Amino acid sequence: MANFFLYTSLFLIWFMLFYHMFLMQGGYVFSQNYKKTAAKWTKKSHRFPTVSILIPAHNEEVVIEETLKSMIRLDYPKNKMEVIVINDNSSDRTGEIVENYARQFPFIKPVHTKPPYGGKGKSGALNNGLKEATGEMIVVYDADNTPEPDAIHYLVLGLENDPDAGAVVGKFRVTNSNKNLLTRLINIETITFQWLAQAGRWFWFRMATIPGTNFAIRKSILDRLGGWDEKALSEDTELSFRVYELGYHIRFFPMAITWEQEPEKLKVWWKQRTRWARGNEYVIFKYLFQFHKLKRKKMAVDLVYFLFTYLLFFSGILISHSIFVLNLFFDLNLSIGFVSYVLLILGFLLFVTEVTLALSFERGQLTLKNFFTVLLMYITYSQMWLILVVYASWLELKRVVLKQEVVWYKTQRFSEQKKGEKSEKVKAR
Amino acid sequence: MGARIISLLILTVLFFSLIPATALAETGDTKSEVLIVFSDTSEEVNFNQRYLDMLITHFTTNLTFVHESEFSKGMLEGKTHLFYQGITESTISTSFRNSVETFDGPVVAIGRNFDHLSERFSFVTPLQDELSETIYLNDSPEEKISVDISVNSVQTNSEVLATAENNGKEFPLITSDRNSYYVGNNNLESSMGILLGEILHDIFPDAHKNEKNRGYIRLEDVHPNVEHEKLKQVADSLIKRDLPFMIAVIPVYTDPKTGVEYHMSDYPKVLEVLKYMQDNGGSVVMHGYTHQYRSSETGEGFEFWDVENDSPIYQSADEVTELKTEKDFSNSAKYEQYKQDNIDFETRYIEDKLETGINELNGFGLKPLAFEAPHYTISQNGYNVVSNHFNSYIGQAQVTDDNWEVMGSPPYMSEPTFMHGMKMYPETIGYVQPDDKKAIDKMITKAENQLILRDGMVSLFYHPYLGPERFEELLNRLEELPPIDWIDLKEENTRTQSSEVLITASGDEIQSNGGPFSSSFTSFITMNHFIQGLADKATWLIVGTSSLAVLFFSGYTIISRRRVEKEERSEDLG
Repeated sequence: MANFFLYTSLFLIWFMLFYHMFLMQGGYVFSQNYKKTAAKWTKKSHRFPTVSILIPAHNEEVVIEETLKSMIRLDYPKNKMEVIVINDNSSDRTGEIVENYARQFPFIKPVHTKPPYGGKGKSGALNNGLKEATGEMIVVYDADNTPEPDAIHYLVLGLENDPDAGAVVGKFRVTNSNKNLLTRLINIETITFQWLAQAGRWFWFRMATIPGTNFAIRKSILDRLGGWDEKALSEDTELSFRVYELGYHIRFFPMAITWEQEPEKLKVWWKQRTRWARGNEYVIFKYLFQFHKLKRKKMAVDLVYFLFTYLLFFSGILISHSIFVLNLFFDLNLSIGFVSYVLLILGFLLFVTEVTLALSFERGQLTLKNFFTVLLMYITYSQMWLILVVYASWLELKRVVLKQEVVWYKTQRFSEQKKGEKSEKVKAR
Repeated sequence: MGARIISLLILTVLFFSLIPATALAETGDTKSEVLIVFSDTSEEVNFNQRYLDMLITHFTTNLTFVHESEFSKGMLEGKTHLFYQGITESTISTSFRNSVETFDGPVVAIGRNFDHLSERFSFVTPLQDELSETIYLNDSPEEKISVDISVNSVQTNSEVLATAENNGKEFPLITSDRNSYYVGNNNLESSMGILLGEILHDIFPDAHKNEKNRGYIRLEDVHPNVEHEKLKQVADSLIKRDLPFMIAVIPVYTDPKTGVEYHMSDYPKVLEVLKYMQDNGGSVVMHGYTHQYRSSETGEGFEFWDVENDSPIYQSADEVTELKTEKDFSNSAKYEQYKQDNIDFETRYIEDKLETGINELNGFGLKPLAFEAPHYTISQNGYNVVSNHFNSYIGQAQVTDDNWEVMGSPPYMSEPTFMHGMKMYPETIGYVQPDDKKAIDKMITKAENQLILRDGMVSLFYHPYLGPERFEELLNRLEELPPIDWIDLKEENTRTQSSEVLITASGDEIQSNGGPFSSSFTSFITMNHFIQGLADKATWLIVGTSSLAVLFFSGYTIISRRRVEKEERSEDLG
């Protein structure tokens, strides 16, 4: 019986690892070629469609100014763009700051929302912003983002040159990666995620998940979809699914770069990731049970992936961990023997080579320090994820059973103050 | 063109002319109808009759047994041969005496009471009993068999076919007068059977004149826990000599200390050797399922006999109660019911073992072609159950339910009626006893005795744990004998069946229904084993693929890093 469980967990785990290998291979090929595509498109003459940039902001006084400055620096005809900041039920100076900028720069348009219409989380804020939007394309940035000046240009290039793309997703980089071990780990994680999962899926399946920020989507599509799903905790994943359902693909175009801040404290990281995990679990169950109704079966790729990440791969890891521990105390008569050690080592080597490969695509990231961080990551950061999924699943289960309301947790910001003083006064709701 | 057709025709004719010869070779024709009348302590057929059964069914399976006291004249209707077996001294009814007198066909009288039979046996006059040292056929007096038996010696002026000898004194052992035969000994399980068997060839119409001596070599008690190196060495001794052989396989090894059962899947090396043997002349014989009952060790214990009670298996292994007798019951109906319940229990028990064993062996890719009871012990009901699953039986036969030690084998192939259609491949010359230095000499002597009989069987077994040295010696000695046709069960039209699988062998090929894949699923254990095998292969496939991926990704990293560095440099320059 122990053998059965061991092999089951082994195959579940390795199915996932093979998928990752496969994605990484795609990510590598893509990384070597996307710049050529960008160069070709840049040379071609094209029109500049109108763009509405939505920035949902709830108590963002710490970061909103920097974000607005980066909007002003954007290298895009200002008469073709508007920046809609949705000051969503803020209790701090966010509204004030935005109003100040709006007075100087007419393309910045503040929208202030209060309950009952406002304060319902990110999806709600985005939907409120969408109502005001006039642009042909909608671009979303989180309030802590500082996109590079050519980011919007590249996002628009993507949509203009690829009529089948419903949305174009750019790349995000971490501003505070050298702050501490946690941000360094997150930095490595985000780079790997984008080159393995986003680039890999784009390369093989013409799929990429819309992240919360730095993406452009055709307004016509959003109108048809009726905006964002306000019940979804990870509204971006959910939106991606609906875009596929309309028959569009989502392009990953890492020429469009934004920089964002990552949690510097474990507690903040924990809350943010719990929200993502729960959000993805919500999507699995929303679409899994009506999969037969879906017109585009392409989503199966992502559904299966999520199913594996949150259920099967995860169970595999749990089972194999338990067997490992049990086998220390009892003789389970495992027949697997030597090969299990080989697999253990190979699993680790795969992790290390995949992550270092992803790091090598980014300038200045493949350093000795980062390499050692990767080694450490496997036994720390990656294992934390296990506990996190258990916790998130527990919360989701409770929500479903007790029919609880979804509470949207806004990620806490850290000011990048030069003098090191911290103003982490932003409340979590 | 014409030449081709003609040669084809000739070949066809040759081919078909060979068929009847081989078809008749083993159990002769079925035209002979035999009535056996016996005087014995019980009116029911018991071991003495079954010994005779094994001798006669070499020629015909149309046998009818009747106790002398129950004989009636009508019973002889349609009969071609009449046997009288006098075990106990008793009177002979007039009716039977008259029938003997008037019966047209051959009459064979064995043992006692021949002097009361009729005028037909007046050619022999009884003398006192004598002990024999050696016995021989008068046709070949130089081929003597050493055997201590008590001979009902006679005085006769008729033809003496076989003689017993003691200290230079000779007594007629088998005598005949036209078609009446007298056999002066009842120990048919002894070497006596060799002489009688030879003479029976002249009494029955099919003389088996052109038949060669057959034989078999069986590797005994091969269970999952045997030493696979020794097994392989012993098998290789046979394989290099190109000798076909049998392997008595026990599918499960039970550890006597812990009671834990081990299957072939637990010892993949043994399984591998067994498959190698099966592919190179070996035929698997199912030798029970665990070869033990209660807490005994596999290979040591009995499986189809309750030795503590000296009875068939009438209770589950954890019960140890003495069997009841008729006295324990208020009326005979209740006792009969008790006996029937016991038999039903035994039937289910054996049935279950056979089903599981066949399915398990088959699932491991081992095709059991015949059955051999552990320690040759099994009840009369047991043979009936076995015959539902096998048509070939290997070894000796326990011939009574009263005592497991009463067993024996005919000197040649036969088809005992108590085996319900199974063909019996008797074991005749024993095995190499580990602590007997002269074991091989004794076996060879027995083999030489067997060769006196025109189609006498030379069959033996060997325990592979003894290693290849003594086995080599044994094989060398066997090769010095006149050529023996070593039996390959795959050429014997065997048939084995369970609820899951039908395994047939003919013309050197084994067929079983279902593909190789489905056959692994005939038993849970083998299915498990099969899946584990796949899983094992899959894990190594994973190792291979992911090792490659690690190599490739490392390579990519170097390429990508160089490229990024180049970009940086060119930008710095620009």
